[in-house]
Amino acid sequence: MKLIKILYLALLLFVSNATNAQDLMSELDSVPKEKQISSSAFKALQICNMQSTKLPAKGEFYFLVTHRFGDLKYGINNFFGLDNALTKIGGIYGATNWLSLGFSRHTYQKTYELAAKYKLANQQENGFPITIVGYNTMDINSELKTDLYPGLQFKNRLAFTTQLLISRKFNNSISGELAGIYVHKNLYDALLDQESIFLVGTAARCKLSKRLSANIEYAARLNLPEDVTSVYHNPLTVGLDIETGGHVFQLVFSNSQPMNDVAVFSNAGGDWSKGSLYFGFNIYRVF
Amino acid sequence: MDLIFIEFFNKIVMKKVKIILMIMVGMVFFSCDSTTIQDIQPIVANPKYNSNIKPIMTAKCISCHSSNGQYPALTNYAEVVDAIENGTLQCRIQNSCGAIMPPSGKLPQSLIDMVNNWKLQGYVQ
Repeated sequence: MKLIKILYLALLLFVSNATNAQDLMSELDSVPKEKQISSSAFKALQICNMQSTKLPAKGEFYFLVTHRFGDLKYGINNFFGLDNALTKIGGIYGATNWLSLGFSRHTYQKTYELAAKYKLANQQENGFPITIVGYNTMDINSELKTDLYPGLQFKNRLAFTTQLLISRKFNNSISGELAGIYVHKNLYDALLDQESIFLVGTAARCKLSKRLSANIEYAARLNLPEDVTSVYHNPLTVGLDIETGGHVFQLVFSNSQPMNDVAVFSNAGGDWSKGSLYFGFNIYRVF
Repeated sequence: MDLIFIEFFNKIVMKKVKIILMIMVGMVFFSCDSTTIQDIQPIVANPKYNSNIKPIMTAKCISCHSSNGQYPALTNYAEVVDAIENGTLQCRIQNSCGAIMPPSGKLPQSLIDMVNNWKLQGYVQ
């Protein structure tokens, strides 16, 4: 029910804007134009760390390699982070035009991540104003060992995110995204972490040239306990997309070194105000 | 505009609701109960202030219980020992007297046991 309510609210917002902008009389007079699906709001499947509302077409397979280097604040000591990089490698398959399935393996906590992304609505020219996409991930932490954690059960290894992504392509160069995000961990640190976190995410893209675009994304955690100062920060990431035929290459600066959604949204350890940042890149190759 | 709404809801309700429901049911099935790392760790046989007790106070208590904040302050060894010996720290965290501490929710049982054990063994620093 909550989901439907949020959907409905988002719709109302956009629709009321649209009606204000148009003269009702002229709407009556005009001949209905043919509705076409707008081209996707973001060029890549990801904005920086967050997911965009783009999905692979049916039958397309994306191969994905991403890196985040170590903390930049240590400078030459760890060669600006090159000494301890994290890697994620995986694939995303378009099962239908509106559903894609992903699988990846990540250095951080030796995580296996399963993902499903499904399109609920498309932005149309002269029609529906926004694109709505749902995204779910399930992480399996394969690093935990029963030697260290005698009480470990398989379900303790799992963590989840549920995300509702709403994007709008305002014109050829500017796109925006709004996201409702829920993170749930089956195992968490009682002193440093939380079982469940709700976030509101925002992201924007600005096209700079035919092959270049700049991206920014931020998510605010909504339910931090009042009596604890969180050791983590809200994730803030800026990036640059470079398109080269068949590849999308994304350079990013983020305050989260891990790249799986659960960790990005709940365990961003870096702090922009202290220069504690992680540089890295995402590479997508489509087959 | 009404047309767009009807079109949109028809689309979702008719075609995709099954899969979305399946995913949601799956999530509920998997994510009903959470555990803390502290609860699946081995029991600390000989808890010490600096390595075991202080981290709990730092994470869960001192944002309020500091020298200018709520009574009692819990920022160092002497203050914590005093709060157990002469105060209500032990029964507050066990929820057996007054309002439970910390207010965000009861600590994992393993940490409560650790504090009790630390007292029994004579407050090792």
